[in-house]
Amino acid sequence: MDCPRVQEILSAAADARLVPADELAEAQTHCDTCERCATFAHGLGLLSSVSAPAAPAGLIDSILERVASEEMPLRAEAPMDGALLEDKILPHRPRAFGQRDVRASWWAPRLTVFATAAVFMLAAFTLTAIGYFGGFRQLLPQKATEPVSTSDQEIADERELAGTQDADTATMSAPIAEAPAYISVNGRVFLPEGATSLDDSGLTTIGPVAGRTQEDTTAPVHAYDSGAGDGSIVVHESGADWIVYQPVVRGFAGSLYQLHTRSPITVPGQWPDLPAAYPTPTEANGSPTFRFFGYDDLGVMIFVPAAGSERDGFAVAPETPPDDPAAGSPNWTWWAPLP
Amino acid sequence: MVGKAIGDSELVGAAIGGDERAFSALVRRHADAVYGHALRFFGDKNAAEDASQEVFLKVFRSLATFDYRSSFSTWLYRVTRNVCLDMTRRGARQPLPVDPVDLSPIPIADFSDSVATRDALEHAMQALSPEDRAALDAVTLFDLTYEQAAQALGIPQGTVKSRVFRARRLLISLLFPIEPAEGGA
Repeated sequence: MDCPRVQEILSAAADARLVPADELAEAQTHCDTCERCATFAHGLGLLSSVSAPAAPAGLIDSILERVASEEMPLRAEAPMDGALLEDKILPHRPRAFGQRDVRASWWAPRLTVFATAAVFMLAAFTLTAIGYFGGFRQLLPQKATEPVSTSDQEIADERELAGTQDADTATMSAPIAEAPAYISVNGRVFLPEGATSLDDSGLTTIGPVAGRTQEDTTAPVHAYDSGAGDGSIVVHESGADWIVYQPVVRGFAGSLYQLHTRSPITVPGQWPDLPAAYPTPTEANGSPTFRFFGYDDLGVMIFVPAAGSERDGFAVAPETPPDDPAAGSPNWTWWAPLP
Repeated sequence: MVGKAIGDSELVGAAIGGDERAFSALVRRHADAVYGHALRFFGDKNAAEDASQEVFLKVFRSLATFDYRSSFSTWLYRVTRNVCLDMTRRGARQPLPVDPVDLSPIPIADFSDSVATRDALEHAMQALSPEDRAALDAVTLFDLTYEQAAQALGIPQGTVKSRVFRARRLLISLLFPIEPAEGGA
């Protein structure tokens, strides 16, 4: 038995790993005659006896004070009274779908669409009647999907849309909320961080910013590697400074993954969508496109391609929590390893 | 993290049910591990405190979604690691640069001085690669098994084992240097 093997056995034994007794005995015997390994064994013992850094006095109180100012996000029931038991024993329920009962999925989207259409009809009628409609529209941000209908024809179109679309698709394409100020470059999604000044000599081109052209020509606006090594890019906005854009990322299993989109983001407020290779799932469990893989740190469900690995990327269902990087997205989102 | 009278699962269940003392117990039980990992990650006490606060706030906010598919420690370690990475990415905090000169061995002369011993160990920790340190922290600070650490880090168990071993070997070589000698057969 050589020294590296002896030390590996001793290290594993220190972690209470099951080590064959004869191998451990042989390693210990080896230490009797090998100063290097004896020192290693001695060092292991000392390392395990050294206490880890202790949280400073006051930190725990400070944490608890901050927590006390927040409302406890309780389950609907006390865990051992049913909810926890149900989660443990029954097949998994899709939490990313707002804890709703999957049995309600056939009627809930339809109800949502009809209710939304009714609200828009009422709002449009009221605003038109009091003569403020034109002015109000000017105050609305330009969006990819216009939630306010302006005519009877548009209202009729919206009603037709609600009545003919597949339930899940209708829910996803409904004008739920406006997306953040995303831009996309080569299918990768970014958010603006702020202006910066830089020496633009030697910048490396990443690709054209989707839907963006020079102010006085049809030449595309290009994005460049910021050089920060964190996946961020810089874009020279016409008549302005360089703007830094950070990739939209989420952490999973110790790695970072960036939000991608199939459709170039050409209009403010547009939500990213799934790559062409992955059709929108028809079921809450991700099938037939994806299969459930696990949860990320905040309990969001992670789905991987039915015949793929999470290393290539993963999908997240709509209706993620408010602090999620894809919060508000009505679409399934795709996350690929950060380049 | 030894001799837990009440298991983490029970405390999590009670905390989800609204028992503030249970959540407080979870914080007190795991604060050292979270702070210790953050301190080694950033090399700065203030950053470690900020990260610790953010970790437990995230845990509090998402505790109701904890589903027991992994141990609480595994989940907590992943949250801690991701908070540190996210803080770095947001530019909120950056790991302090380590001067290679500072990584020269600091042998422990007096093992009876526990403070000096701990300081020397923490100093030597900065010589580890982030990957090796992350694996070692998972196993020693958060008390994870190799299997749990592999799950949390998204790497094979064998890789966890080799990283932990490599980390210990470097630490020991820094803290307990010996004259070069031929290894045994």
